[in-house]
Parts: sequence; C-alpha cells; structure tokens
Amino acid sequence: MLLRELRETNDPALREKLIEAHLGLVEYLARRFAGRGEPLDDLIQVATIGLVKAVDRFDPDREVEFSTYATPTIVGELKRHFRDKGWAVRVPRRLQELNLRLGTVIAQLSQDLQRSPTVGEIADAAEATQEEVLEALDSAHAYSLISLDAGTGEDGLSYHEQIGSEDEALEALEDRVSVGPLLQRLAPRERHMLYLRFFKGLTQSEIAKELGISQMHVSRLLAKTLSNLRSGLEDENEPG
Amino acid sequence: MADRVVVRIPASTAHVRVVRQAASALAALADFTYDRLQDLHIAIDEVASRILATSQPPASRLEFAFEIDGGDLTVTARGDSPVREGGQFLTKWSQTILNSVTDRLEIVSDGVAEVTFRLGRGVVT
Repeated sequence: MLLRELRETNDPALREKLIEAHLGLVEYLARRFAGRGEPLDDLIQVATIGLVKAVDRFDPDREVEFSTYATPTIVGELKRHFRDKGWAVRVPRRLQELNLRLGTVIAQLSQDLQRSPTVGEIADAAEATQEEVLEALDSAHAYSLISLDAGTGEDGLSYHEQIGSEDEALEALEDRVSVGPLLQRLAPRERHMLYLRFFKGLTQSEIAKELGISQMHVSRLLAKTLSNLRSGLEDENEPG
Repeated sequence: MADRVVVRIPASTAHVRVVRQAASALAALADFTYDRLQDLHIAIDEVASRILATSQPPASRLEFAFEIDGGDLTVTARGDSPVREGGQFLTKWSQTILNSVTDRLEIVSDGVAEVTFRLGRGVVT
C-alpha cells in the first residue's frame, strides 16, 4: 500500500502522488461548503491543506480506509477556514432547517401570488411564527446557508450579451474612479445582479426569476457583493 | 399618530445587525413583503457604512429612528459626529443604491450627517 510505503520512505514524489490521487475527494468536500460566501477555488485550496495533513498524519497500521480518515480532517480544515473568516456564527439546527425550507416556501408563494410574499404569509406557509421566520432569515445572512442543491442556474446565461450596456451604465457613474475598478473585479454574475437591481430597477424576485435562482440566494448575493464593495472602497479611499 | 421606535448603537458594523433585526420586526408589523424587507436591509447597511466611513472625528454612536405610518416605514439615520471636511457623505454610488431601494431619500447636513428614507411595504393585493 502506497501510504505504508510513504511512511517507510518519506519519498516526496510518492507523497505528491498520494495527494493527487485524492484531489477528487478534496473537490467533493469543498463543493459541499460552496455557496456560503467563499469562492470555490479558495475552498479547494483550504481542503487540499486538509488532505496534505491527512496524508502526513495517517497511520497505516490503523485499520481504517484512508478516505474515512481524511474526510473529517479535510472537513475540519474547511470549518476552521469559515471560523477564521468570522462566518462561524453557530446557527441552531432548527433555524438551519427552517432556513432551507424558507427558500422553497418563498419561491412557491412568489409564484402563487405573482408578487413577493409578506413575512406573515411566509410564516403561515412555513408553519412557523413570524419571529422564527425573521430569525431564520437573519441567521442566513450571518452565516450564508445556501442549500447545497440551490440551483444556481448559471448555465445558459449569456453575460457577454449584457456586458456592453452594463458597462455604459456603470460608466455613467460619477465616482466610477472609485467603484469602477472594484466592479471590474466582481464575478460576472455579481456584476450582472448589481446592474439588474440598481440600474434596471428589477426587484429581487424579478432577478431571481431572470437568473433562475432562489430569491433568498439573490438577496444574500446582493448583500454580500455590496458589503465587499464597501470594504474595498474603505480600503482604497478612507485611509486612517 | 405614527409609531416611533429609536435604536441607538455603538458605531461599529457589528452592531448594525441589531438595527437590521429591529427593522425586520417593524417591517413585519407593517406587513412588508420579503422584497421590501431586503431593500430595507440594503438601505440600512449602506447608510450606516457611509456614516461610519465619513465621520470625523469617528462617530461613537449611530441612531436609527423608525416610524411606521400605515404601510410605510420612514427611517432617519444619523451619527453623532460631522462629516469629515471635504468628505463626500453619500457618493453617487451610494445614492444610486439608495434611490433604487427606497421610495424617498432626503439628505440633511446640519453639522452631522443625517439621512431619511422611506419605504413602502410593497405590492400586496
């Protein structure tokens, strides 16, 4: 077994080979944490660190599969990453579940009512109190709990068709000098969302429909993008 | 007579969450739609961050006063310190954002930065 051989030889090439052989597991686990406010590439990097640790620490004499051993190490590394990023507000399970349910409830109600539902309507449909609904929505922003399946609808979206008019709109901004470079750095979907909301004046539910993602997903992405822009602006424009 | 609620917080972004939570509760009372609730949060975040970013000396408290009148919520936000000399309280970008998420926007600068904005609860039929 390669891992036993590695223990005996400490051969760096072998170590490399073992790490590469398990990158699939790394990506699989990283994806489980995607959509919580950290780019997937970063997550894969963090998860890879976890894998390296697992390879270095695995004891071949213990009678467990390597993947069984590596999974909690990698997940631990990912969780630590979120904790270090200040995202790890502990969200009670009850709220997590309600939060996941709200995504569906809000989408369904918006479709049935052909408008955005009120908090009261959401609470009734989710069989929860208004307080619980507000608490769950708030927890979602503290720790972005995008459900793992949350259809991202990224396929088939042609950003390029939009970019021309978007650029014009963005350039019309007087303070493009400050915001402009930051906007350029945004992911196309985030830019597009800002454009739809603040320049085309679409509501969040209309954006959700247009992009084929849940409304809760839209509001989280918008809030996060704006907050990133703000901290970027502060870094660049507000010295001291 | 409109219901009035005032929330005063230490001037830090961490505490803005408390304002958002209060705003959510009030918006639920006023029967706001989910869309409008999110708009309200965006407006609060934007205004709070501008007050924090432009006050000189740095603000020590932020005050948000909410008034519910029928289906409308009026919010007045102010710091306790003037806008830094030569500083731009609401940038064009901030105004673009605020204009799209609120129904009315009013900026007062009488020594300290102050913004009032109003949001309707959204279409409920």
